[in-house]
Amino acid sequence: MKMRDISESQRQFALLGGIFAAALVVSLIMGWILFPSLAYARKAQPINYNPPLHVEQIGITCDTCHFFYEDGSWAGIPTLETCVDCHSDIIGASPEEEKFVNEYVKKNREVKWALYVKQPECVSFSHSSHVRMAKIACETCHGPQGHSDPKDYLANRITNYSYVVYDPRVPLNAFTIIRDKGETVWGTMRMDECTACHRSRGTSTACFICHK
Amino acid sequence: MKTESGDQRIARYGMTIDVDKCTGCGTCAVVCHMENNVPFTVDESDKSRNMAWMRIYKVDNGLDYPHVRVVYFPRPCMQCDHHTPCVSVCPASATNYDGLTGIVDQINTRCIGCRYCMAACPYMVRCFNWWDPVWPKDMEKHLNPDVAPRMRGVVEKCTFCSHRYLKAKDKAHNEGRDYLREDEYVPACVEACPVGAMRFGDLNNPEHAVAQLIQSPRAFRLLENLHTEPKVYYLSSYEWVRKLADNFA
Repeated sequence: MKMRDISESQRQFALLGGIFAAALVVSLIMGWILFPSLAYARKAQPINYNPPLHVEQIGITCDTCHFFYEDGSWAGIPTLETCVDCHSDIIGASPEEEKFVNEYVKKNREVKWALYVKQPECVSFSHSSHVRMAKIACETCHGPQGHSDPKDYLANRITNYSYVVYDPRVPLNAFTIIRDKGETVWGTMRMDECTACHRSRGTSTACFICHK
Repeated sequence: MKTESGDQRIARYGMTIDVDKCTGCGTCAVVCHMENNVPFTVDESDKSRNMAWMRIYKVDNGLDYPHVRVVYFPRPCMQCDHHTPCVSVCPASATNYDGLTGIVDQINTRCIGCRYCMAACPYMVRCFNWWDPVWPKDMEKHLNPDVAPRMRGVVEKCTFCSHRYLKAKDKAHNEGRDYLREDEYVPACVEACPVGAMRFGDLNNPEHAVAQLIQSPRAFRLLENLHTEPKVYYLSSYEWVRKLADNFA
């Protein structure tokens, strides 16, 4: 059988085509797998705080620790002072509780809690307008926090925006953050999410309402 | 925001400044600097580069002693109602007129620094950040957390302390109210004025003092011929002062 003749230019074309295809595959792997995983850092809370224990078993509500001051400002993440009201001594047998009391309460050190919803400094957000006036439930923006136990969270290395899932069946990665934000993934609110809700409710969308 | 009686009304926040009362002490300018984290430069005498949201202009009647008279014009942003020169020229929508409060805001993170608004503003209200702001180390603790510091390359201006509006609204919402009382939202300059020359309130609400004051024959505005309809009114009993405020010549 006679071999097909392949001219020099055809061989060159095949070689270039092969290089192009290989480069495309490498670029796709980098763009879809490598870079998205590099963009987010996986982090953990300094103390593995257990929200379902507080909310479901002990039965305290969100505003017990995350309360409002009289001037309408919001306490935010509770300081050690609030925790110590109950946790002046070790309650129960959890090693995290022991670590919390020994490392923080007894040494009077504030825990540097990580925030899943921290906004940049040019944004002002009013909890009292949303919770007290518009009667929006905490879960609407924060998800089922208090009913599940997030072990770790992702933070964007550039923006510092962070994300968390409360459903252990949902993987937390760059793809679920982009696809499922507000459904199974919760975290830093984006401006388009804020404006969409303001528009649908007919509330002001003036820039200074959210930007300072 | 709704009014006390509950009907949805569009507010037009405005200010009156009684130049007959003003002593030119400069308290309003100082508290404005502190309240809004306005940066300062090493050479504050360079008036083409320094920054102030509230400037005080000294004006006299041009006569010799003993007939010379001096007045001081504290000049915040005029918050123009009509055309709003800065808003109409901004290519980045970084400054906007809010129809519900009448406040002309400035979104520093959106500003591209073209300074078109500075050229358009007839009142020379706007300042440009030629440098990144630097505060002495101890002073950083005194910065107001409600106002984000600006960066190099953006324009800034008086916002009628819109963060104070938000704070007042926070308190009202926490108490289950959807309206603000007259004394709840007041810019820092008005609050600090030691002689009570400045008043602030909703010009649309006839119960507010400012709405009554602007009806007075003593009331006038700067450069009224331009029809920018500023919401900052000045008050004076002297004809020469009222004439100076506009380019009659």
